[in-house]
Amino acid sequence: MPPYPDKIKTTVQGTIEAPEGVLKITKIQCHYDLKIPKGKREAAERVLNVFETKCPVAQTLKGCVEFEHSWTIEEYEE
Amino acid sequence: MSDPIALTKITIEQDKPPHRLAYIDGFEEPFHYGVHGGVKEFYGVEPETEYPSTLDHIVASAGG
Repeated sequence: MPPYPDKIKTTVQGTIEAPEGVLKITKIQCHYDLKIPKGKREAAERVLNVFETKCPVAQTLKGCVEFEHSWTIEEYEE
Repeated sequence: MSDPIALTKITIEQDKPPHRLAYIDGFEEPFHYGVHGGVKEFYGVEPETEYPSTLDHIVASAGG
């Protein structure tokens, strides 16, 4: 599934709070807009479901920041 | 639970892999992410242009 050109866009929102008087990122919500070839939805969702375990940044912040992942998938004819 | 102090919103666009552009709300020019050095070697890619990795940005952030 080619990620480029114009096949993936990610919108990320970080929530910043000060639970102990110091600013801290407490939550990161990631939404992925994907365009994939028709018939590849199952494979794409399999990848999305393990994305966090393969993401160096998520693995670095794991345990400190809560992550939420969501996605919208649009299929196209090849 | 109190309201958050700030919400940071960012849009990431995929350019020719591994180059990505991160647009932070409120700023026109994007930040560039890519690979170089050990990260480049780890992934076994040879980008046309080297950019700092997302891990570089985390480390830079920690430095203030």
